[in-house]
Amino acid sequence: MPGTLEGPLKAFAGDLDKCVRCGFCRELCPVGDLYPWEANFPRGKVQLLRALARGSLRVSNYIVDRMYFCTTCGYCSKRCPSGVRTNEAFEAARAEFIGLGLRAPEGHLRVVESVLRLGNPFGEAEGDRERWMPPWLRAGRRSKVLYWAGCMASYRLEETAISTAKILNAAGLDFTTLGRAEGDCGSILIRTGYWREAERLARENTKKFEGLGIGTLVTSCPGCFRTFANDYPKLFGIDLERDLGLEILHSSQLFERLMREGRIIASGLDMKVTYHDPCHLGRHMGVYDPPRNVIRGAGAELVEHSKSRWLASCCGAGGGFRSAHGELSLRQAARRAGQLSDLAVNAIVTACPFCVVNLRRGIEVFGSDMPVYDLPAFLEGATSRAK
Amino acid sequence: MGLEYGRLSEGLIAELESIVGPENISTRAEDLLCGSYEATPLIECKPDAILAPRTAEQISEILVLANRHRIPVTPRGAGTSLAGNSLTVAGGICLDMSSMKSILEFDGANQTIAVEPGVVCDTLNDYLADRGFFFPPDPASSSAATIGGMVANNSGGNRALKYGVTKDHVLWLEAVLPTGEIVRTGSRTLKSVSGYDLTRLLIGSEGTLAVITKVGLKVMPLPEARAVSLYIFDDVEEAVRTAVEIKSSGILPSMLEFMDEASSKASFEYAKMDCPEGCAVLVECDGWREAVEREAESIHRIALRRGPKFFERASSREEMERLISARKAALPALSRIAPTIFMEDFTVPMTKIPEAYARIARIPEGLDAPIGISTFGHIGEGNLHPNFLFDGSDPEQRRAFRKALDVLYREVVIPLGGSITGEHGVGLSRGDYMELEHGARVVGLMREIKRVFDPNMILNPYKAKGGPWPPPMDIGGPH
Ligand SMILES: Cc1cc2nc3c(=O)[nH]c(=O)nc-3n(C[C@H](O)[C@H](O)[C@H](O)COP(=O)(O)OP(=O)(O)OC[C@H]3O[C@@H](n4cnc5c(N)ncnc54)[C@H](O)[C@@H]3O)c2cc1C
Ligand code: SF4
Ligand code: SF4
Repeated sequence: MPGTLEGPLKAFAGDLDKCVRCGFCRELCPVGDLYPWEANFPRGKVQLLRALARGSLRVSNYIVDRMYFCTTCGYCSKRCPSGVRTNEAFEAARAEFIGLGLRAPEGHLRVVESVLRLGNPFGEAEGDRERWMPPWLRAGRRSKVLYWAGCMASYRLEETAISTAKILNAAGLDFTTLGRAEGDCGSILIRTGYWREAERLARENTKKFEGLGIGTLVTSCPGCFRTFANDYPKLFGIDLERDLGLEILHSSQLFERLMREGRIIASGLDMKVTYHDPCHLGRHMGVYDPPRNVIRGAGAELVEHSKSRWLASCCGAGGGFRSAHGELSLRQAARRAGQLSDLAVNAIVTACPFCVVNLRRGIEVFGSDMPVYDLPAFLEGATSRAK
Repeated sequence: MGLEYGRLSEGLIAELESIVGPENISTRAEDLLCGSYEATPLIECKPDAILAPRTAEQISEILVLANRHRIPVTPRGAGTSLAGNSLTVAGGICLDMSSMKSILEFDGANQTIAVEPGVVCDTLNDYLADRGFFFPPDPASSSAATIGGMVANNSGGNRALKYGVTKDHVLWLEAVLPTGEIVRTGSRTLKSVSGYDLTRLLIGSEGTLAVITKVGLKVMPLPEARAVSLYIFDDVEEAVRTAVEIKSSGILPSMLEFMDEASSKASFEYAKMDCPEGCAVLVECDGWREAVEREAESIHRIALRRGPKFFERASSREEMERLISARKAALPALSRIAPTIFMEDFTVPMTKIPEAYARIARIPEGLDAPIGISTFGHIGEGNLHPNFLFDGSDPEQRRAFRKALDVLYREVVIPLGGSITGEHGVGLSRGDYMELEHGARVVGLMREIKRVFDPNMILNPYKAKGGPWPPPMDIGGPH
């Protein structure tokens, strides 16, 4: 297909050639076996893109569908001994296709349209974003620390945002929010290949931050975290750390720091829990230990599953997969929830509101009643105990 | 000599579709492309259709139909073979077995397990580890390789020195013959001599005699303790001799692996390990804690005598896994340094390894184009993998590689009393050397056996084990 590889995929031509087809990336791909053909596994996806690059295949709806049939969990890339940046190539392929004038598959498109129209993926009113906020947080107070709750915590898992605010408040940390002006970080647009629109959003967000005089940006959602810290500079040349002097943190990192400084006091959780590494936090951002330290700091005993840290299976929600393939995403969620609930623990803790929502649905399908907590709600439980 | 095969007509495709269901058959160009390769470089062969059957009965119906119409059928697991074993040379049907992946029955008391062929080796071991057991064969591709593929290739791997290869752990098989009958070979018991050993015949048959649909395996209790140590030497000779001395010392390590400088550098880079460049010897002992300690200490003393520049003993399970996974990544990690890596797989008696290594190192001198060699392998079993590094898109380099292979087999492996392949199989890439190792009469016998199972030669045809050989069509690759 003329034009292919002239866009974002071009930078990956060398990666595609490096794949030796060893298949190491096959088995633990969370979505590979949800569809019977090799074309769905990371190795197959790489080979399809290679064939496009060499002109032995043309872009087809089938290839487009395969590239979108991926939670962008990043496992394949971490596994690949040849150093092929697989999932980045799949994301670039999506952007390549959109650049060629194609559209994302139906389920993804719905979400993209909602983000573009309403600034959130759920079709919710923009004004409802601040629903979770106590009145003192709504007014645009000035502070050095900006808490960016993100769409999931604002609209679907308010406990995450509420607990975060309570914990930071109790720690005596002065912080603020953007209130209803917070909007979308661009993660979904990036993940679905709408990079032009995402860049516009990134520039708007950068403007929002510029006037505030903040030094730290804290997110609840690992997706927002990755987007601000990784994607803005890599894809759009917007380096918030360099250009605005911002320190970008995931809330688990801030909690860990405040605990170390003795400002968050939590203890006495007589619980055994396991921790589920969110893909965007662990594999993509390399943040593995802070949430674990917070859990231990709260007095809980942490039991590790053999598939944890960089090997952790995805909850099935990422990369738009949940919106596009609800039932299959749930199947993966049940698989992951089942793995974790097989451990002799009282609860599953994670550090991502998307993972919480999907794992809760998954655990129900799996047939267990094990509770699933987001780290802030879990920690809040431990701090209120310590009081 | 070419064979006459039928064409997979639309009518036949419709019949196949009615057997497996429309969602389990594909003739899409994209899926066919993804069924055209395996881990073997340079060779690709497109099937005409791919099927993902779910039961032995479906496979039986497929084979009856294929046999009647003389359509080639080639089973495929995860497609990680390295000799063209699973490639559909004559087109026809690619039978993708990877969807048949249920664990059927675990019997802890009798230490056996029954699985479908698509179960992946590491997944099986995760399941067994939760129950205190393990399945010892551990190919470097264990994260991908299916049990069906391992049985069909008789895969070896890192632990073969102490625990043997796949064939040593298979009790029985359920298989579908090319003529459609579903048969059971072997016995559920540990001992049985009540017939020719057809189980062993099917093991290692590379998908040329029957399609395996169930596998009964022996499993073993997990050892109480393990010790994994890494030694790095400046001099390759010292590394090789260290390994030979460990093996001859009366200790039986569960793993005794070697990587030369290039492959260890690439592997350690992948595993993000901070160790100096050099030739690596990786040793694992397992068993009772006290015994493991004594063995590890003896090995350490042997290794120190040869002056390693670096050594490290893994202090946690994670570190052990990291060292082992670095070794397992050696082949794909080499792609960081060359566009084409063709991996060979010979064996020689262990004591001949230093001589073999020295002769291999001289191979590039006699070639007309630059071909690199990086060697690693299961040195404890006398099984080395010299990897030829070159640019497969350059015809001159391909010719030089072809010559290098010839020298390897004719002047190194066979004169030193070895075998052309220790564990990867003959497939397509070693077909020309079968007679060199076995002689014409024995190869003829093998071909006769193939005819008994598969009179119409529909199952994985044109592979060197079953023949006919050589294939009449251009198969690319080094040939
Ligand atoms: C990086 C790398 C490292 C490797 N390391 C090792 C190693 O250490 N030791 C080793 O022994 N091998 C190794 N291999 C080779 C290969 O991985 C093994 O042979 C593996 O067991 C093949 O399994 P598979 O599922 O990929 O089978 P495939 O490659 O898909 O098939 C293998 C053969 O089996 C046949 N087959 C597959 N399934 C069935 C079935 N159900 N019934 C009948 N026939 C069937 C196919 O037709 C083919 O001939 C390595 C490969 C790679 C890429
Ligand atoms: S990123 Fe994750 S879901 Fe996507 S292909 Fe790789 S392993 Fe599969
Ligand atoms: S692990 Fe890397 S080299 Fe191996 S098949 Fe996957 S992408 Fe290719």
